[in-house]
Amino acid sequence: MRFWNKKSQSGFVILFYLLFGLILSGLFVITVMSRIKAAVSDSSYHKKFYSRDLALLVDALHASNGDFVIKYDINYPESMHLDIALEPDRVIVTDHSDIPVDKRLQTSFRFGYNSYVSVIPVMINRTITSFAVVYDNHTITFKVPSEDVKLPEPRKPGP
Amino acid sequence: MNMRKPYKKSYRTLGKKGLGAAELLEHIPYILLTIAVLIGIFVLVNTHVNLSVNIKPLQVEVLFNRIMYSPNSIMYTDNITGVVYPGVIDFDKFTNTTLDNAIKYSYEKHISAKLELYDKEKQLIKTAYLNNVWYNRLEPLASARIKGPGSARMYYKSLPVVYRENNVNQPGFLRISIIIPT
Repeated sequence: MRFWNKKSQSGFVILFYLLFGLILSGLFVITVMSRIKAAVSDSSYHKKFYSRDLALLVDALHASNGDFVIKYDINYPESMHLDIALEPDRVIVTDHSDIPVDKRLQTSFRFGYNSYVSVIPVMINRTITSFAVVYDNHTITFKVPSEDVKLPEPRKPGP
Repeated sequence: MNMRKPYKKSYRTLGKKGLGAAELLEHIPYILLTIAVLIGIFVLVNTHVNLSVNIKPLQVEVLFNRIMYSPNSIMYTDNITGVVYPGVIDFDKFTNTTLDNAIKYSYEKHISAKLELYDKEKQLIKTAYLNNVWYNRLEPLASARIKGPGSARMYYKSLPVVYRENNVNQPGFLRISIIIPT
């Protein structure tokens, strides 16, 4: 072969090494990006997080000796559509669907209830980005902001 | 091409083909190093992309606060004002029934706890359980720190309290052992 002399052999080795590095880097970038993309777009993490967080919030409110209104912000990717349901014994988070909640694949977390505090079941639709967790007169529920229900403003930092 | 010069002498005896092969061979450590670095970065990324939600310590805190502050739990509550006195245990309410009525779960294998009340001499004077059945079932596994599905983890909390017996406040200690199934 005409170009297969000592110099071109050395060039070939360097070229081989460069190509190998490029292919390896490409594979690496694809693998890492797909792993990160899967982590970000996976709704199971958000379902687990919100079901646990809200259930523990309701659990803690059972120990309350007074009334509370807590503004709760939901923050997940826009492409994700989740429905949040408060049941008498648990908080259920599901992917949004037209079928009834009890027939959907649910991610739920139980809280400790008792007969002294009543929990009013409610469903928070996917379009809601913030709602109120209300403990009022031994009753816990979620309320969507409206003319009647005003969400509390965050307290301004004092001196 | 300068990189060949230092090796020129040692490769003097090699032929054309041998020289090419030797150059390929001398790149193997670099290739291995590149692979090792990339694997290292991948492992780091995987470690920091954490999709698990571990809330067990938070569950322990919530349960502890429910026991300590809840008006219908074991703490002394003023019948007239309804004010709860956290840290003042009503000795008559320090029972399994009170705890099970105050904190119920729709699934039995959930959180369970043992509350041991000691007097000022650190002598055990009363014990109460939340979810007694599952506490006794899971305690051996949790104490032995056996891991895996079906096992449990135990958390402890201990604090000085006052227990109110026959309208008299007495100093004491409360030790709470909380078991959370995995």
